[in-house]
Amino acid sequence: MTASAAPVLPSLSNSTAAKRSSEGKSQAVCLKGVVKRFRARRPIAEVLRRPNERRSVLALDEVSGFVEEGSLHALLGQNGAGKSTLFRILSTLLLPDEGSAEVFGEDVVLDAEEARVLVSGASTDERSLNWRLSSVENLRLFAALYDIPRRETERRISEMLNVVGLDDVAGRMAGQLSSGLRQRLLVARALLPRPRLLLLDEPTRSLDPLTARDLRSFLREELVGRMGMTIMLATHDAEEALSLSDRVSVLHRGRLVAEGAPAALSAELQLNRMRLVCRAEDMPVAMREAGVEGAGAGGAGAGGAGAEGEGARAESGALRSGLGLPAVVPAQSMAPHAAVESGWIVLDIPSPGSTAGEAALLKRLTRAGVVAARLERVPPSLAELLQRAIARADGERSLSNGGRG
Amino acid sequence: MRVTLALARATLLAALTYRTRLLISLLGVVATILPIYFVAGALQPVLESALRGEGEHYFAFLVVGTASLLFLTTTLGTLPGAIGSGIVTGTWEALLATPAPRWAILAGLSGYAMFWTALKCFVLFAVAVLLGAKFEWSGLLPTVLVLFLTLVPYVAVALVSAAGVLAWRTRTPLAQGVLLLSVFLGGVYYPTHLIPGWLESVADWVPLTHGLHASRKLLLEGAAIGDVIPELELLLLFAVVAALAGGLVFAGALRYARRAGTLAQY
Repeated sequence: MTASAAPVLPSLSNSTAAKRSSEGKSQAVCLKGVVKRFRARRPIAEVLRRPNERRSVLALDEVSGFVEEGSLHALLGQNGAGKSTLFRILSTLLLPDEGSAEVFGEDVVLDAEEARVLVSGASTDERSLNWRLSSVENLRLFAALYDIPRRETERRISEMLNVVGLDDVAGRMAGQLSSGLRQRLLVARALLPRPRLLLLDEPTRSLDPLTARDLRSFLREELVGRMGMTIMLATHDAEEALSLSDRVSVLHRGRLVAEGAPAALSAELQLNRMRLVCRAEDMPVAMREAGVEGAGAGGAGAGGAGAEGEGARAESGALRSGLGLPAVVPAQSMAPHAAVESGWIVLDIPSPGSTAGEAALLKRLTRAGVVAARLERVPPSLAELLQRAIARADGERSLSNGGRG
Repeated sequence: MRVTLALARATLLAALTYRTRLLISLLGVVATILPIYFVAGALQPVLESALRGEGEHYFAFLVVGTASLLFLTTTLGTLPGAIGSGIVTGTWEALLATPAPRWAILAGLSGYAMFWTALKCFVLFAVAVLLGAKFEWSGLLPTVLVLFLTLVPYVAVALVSAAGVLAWRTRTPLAQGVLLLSVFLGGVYYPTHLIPGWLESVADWVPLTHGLHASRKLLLEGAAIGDVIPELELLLLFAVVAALAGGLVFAGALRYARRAGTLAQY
């Protein structure tokens, strides 16, 4: 969601004009200070000791913001971050404790029936399919539930089966399909009513890489690009979120800790980094040219992935890549195919942020005599992204608290 | 209606993949009726006078009672069971996320079970006829109306039981209690005037008592629909009051489950 500065968006109201973002686009989803708590389960001994005590788990903590119509919005977070809770609220399956959520102007609590017509979601729970029914029959059932006109039903089903590549197994019982195929059937089921807002909870989780790639391209090009559908995609995969979506929201323990366009978010959180493989003796020069912290202060001994002794590795570990991480990539964290031989070193350096900048960096390194074997972009991991987003959000929070105090 | 039929059809198609189970279920009906036939034959001389006004033939009397009991058991058990298993598998949430009306979903979840019970009753009556039971088939259509009105209060009990599943993830003992009460006081196996007086007045509050009384008049005595108007009026009253109460309790439980997040946890 495009986050609001305050928990409640003062500029948003129920008027049609207000259902537009600052750029003039309609809002598909508008959240205002959504809070959801679940009652925590307590051991029976504790319940007997303190029967009147109530404990709850905060699943969503004043989440505010909006999603623009016709965009693909990724919701990134660990397990338990609140992604599925938010999706269930938008699907009208869960009531928020505080705040409000609207889908195309329909309040998911007050106008739940209207909202349900606009939203469709694909959960990752394959069991929600009827395993004793064929793929076609599963879709026929939901065509009736979504009141798709009878004369259109068969055409739409065959179109959806084709889209997710299930035409060949259309007559097979869902229970006989592989996990990946069932996942595709869930996506086909969600797409069947051609919703204005599609909620996809980890749609590529059980898919093989090729099918996942095809699905991503279908979501991006066909659904968002051609059909103008709005998609909210919950995922653990930072690379998927950043490469696929128009905007990314990062949830952590129910809190919206970061939000923005992928490029801006990557830059803000310094997620753009590059991996340089060079001769071990070139490390001080390479780090200086790359602008790594501490590189000018006497340099460092050679070490790292391929080579030298533990002492040298520990020494170089004191260098920071400017990304809050050690500059020298330890050998044990490298994939076997990426490992380097003795005498070479692997460095993580900040990316200049553009292709031209990267070309200039490469030129500087070559001019300085650095023998480089590889220079490549490193996809951000969820762990990295979360670490920085949380650190930044905590910093902002303590600053704002300090200001108030 | 389309949603209800689609759900019932889907359940039927799924059930048809378990052919052996279906066959055993039908054979079970035949296995049930044989002992009834012999027991009824043995008790006929004793009960003949007590059955006056309800067909006078104990075997046919028991067949009507057994058929009603089959419907009663299905009505009380299907909905809580379907919702419970739907919560476990996630299908319940998937159904609720669609814009389909809630009542149509609930009717659809029970549709196949009711159809299957009707089929079992057909087999029950067919075997009974082969064994010599006599029925007044002209009373069949009014009996269907009586059965419908008789079952509505039990649907309400099933809704309350399903509400227990939604709110506390467990069936309340209500449905079991109502079933037990109906079997003993509703006149399934014996005419209600044979039970002690104070219990007979309790039996007046059991919808099955009136439903069975009317059904037997229609199917065994050849009575016309006009002869069972008092029972129909009473059943209608039960149906309206119970349906309102059951609907309210279920709606409240659904709202509680949406608040507590228990729609997908069993």
